[in-house]
Amino acid sequence: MGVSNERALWLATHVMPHEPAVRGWLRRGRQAEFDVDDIIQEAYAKLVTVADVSEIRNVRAYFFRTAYSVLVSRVRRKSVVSIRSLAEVESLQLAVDELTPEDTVMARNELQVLAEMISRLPEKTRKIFLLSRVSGLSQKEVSRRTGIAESTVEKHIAKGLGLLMAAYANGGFGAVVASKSEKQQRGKVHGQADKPGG
Amino acid sequence: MVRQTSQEVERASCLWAARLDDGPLSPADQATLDAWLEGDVRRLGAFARARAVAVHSRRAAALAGGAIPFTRPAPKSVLSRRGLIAASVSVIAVGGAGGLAAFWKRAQPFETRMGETRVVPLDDGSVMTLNTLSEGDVRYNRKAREIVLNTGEALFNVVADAGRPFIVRSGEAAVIANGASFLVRRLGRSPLQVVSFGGEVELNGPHGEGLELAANTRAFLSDGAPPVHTGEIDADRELAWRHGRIQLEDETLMRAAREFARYNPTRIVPADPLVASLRITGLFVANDPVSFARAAAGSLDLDVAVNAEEIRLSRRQV
Repeated sequence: MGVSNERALWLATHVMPHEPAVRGWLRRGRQAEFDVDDIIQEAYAKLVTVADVSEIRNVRAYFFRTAYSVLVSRVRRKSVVSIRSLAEVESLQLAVDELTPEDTVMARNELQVLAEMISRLPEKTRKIFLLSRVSGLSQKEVSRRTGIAESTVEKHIAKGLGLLMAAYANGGFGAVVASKSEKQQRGKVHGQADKPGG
Repeated sequence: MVRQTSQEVERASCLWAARLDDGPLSPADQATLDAWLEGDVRRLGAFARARAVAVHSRRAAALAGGAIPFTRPAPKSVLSRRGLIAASVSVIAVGGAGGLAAFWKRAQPFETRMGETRVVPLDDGSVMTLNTLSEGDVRYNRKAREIVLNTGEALFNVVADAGRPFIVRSGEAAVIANGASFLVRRLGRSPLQVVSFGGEVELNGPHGEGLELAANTRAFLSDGAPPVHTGEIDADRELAWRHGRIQLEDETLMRAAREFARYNPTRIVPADPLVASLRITGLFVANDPVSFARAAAGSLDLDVAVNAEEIRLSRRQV
């Protein structure tokens, strides 16, 4: 099990740009019983296991449908489901049917959005991230150049990834309508939970 | 086992992605990762997101030495918490205190610099694409999705929501849309322009006279006059700015110069009215007025003089 570079790139360029829309749509359904982040993670897990993505014509709609199916399976798994949440799940289905494809709009300033997001990383993380990403240095080389321990370099790269993921979730730097439910903890990667042993 | 929160899953995923980023994992690490991934379906999804960002952010290398700065932008364009609160407070003050929860709006400003275009995904899945020098704010609440465009140009791709109208306000105009794609252009003192690319789009003047726009048509609204419909448009031409281009179709150099001035501090100046009235057709890079001027000079038999302030086009001296 794993995620190939090819699939990772497909997710980044074709799927993640729609993530804010899917999140907005899930929140609009006001599914208080379910954590939007949980549903998003599970939807990505499904998207990784699709055998052939080249057949997917409208990725945006496909992403919405995948998130919807995760939501439905969660509603089914619950022994007690409020009538309200069932009605809301149905209203979400209507919204999926009305979707207009706009893949091309989102893909446009892709690199510009990326650059802006990187520019907003905290100073030290940004410096390490740029050496790794833009200059293409290995973590060992970054460590040698900056005098920062290799394990710390790895943590900063992880932190940068977490902050970029949060930025993607909010629609990149340009999102003017931020989510109220987004946790403050996002992007902090120094937690102890199941992190890889060093 | 205690179920991890989605944040914990995400944090661990980032660390794994950072480790994998540096080359193949050791067999021990790989076994640990495989076991971890199998423990909870969400982990594979979170790991996939982290890998996506890790792989994709390497594309930033393509920007090295390019025009896009990696340094922190001026604080002005950043949404500060204080700014947000100030904006919300002023809206509440205008809206009155009655039914505070229902009237509470999160007014959130947006602004683009000269030459900048920006894609702004909105909370409901709609997308706003801003052209150069555009400024306004987003005011979404439970009853309506409102955008105020004080100046500039924006393309809206609006998700249908029968319960919550999408309204773009600009001066005295209100454009009401649903499941639509349309452009609003407010440039200086020119009449407000609305171009529909499809869906329900209605232009309303100050006296409530609504005008429905058919797909691929344009309407204008001047101060004190009802909206006026005009003919078919060329969508590619209207939206050339999204690709950083200016598409001219038999336009005078005067109009072309005005168009380039929206994107560039260096002005194109036709030396006399005759030069200004010459016409040109073509697709040009918006932030390269010098190349445009050279191309125009070549086809219209003009002289070009470039200095720091302006690009002067004059009749060729014989």
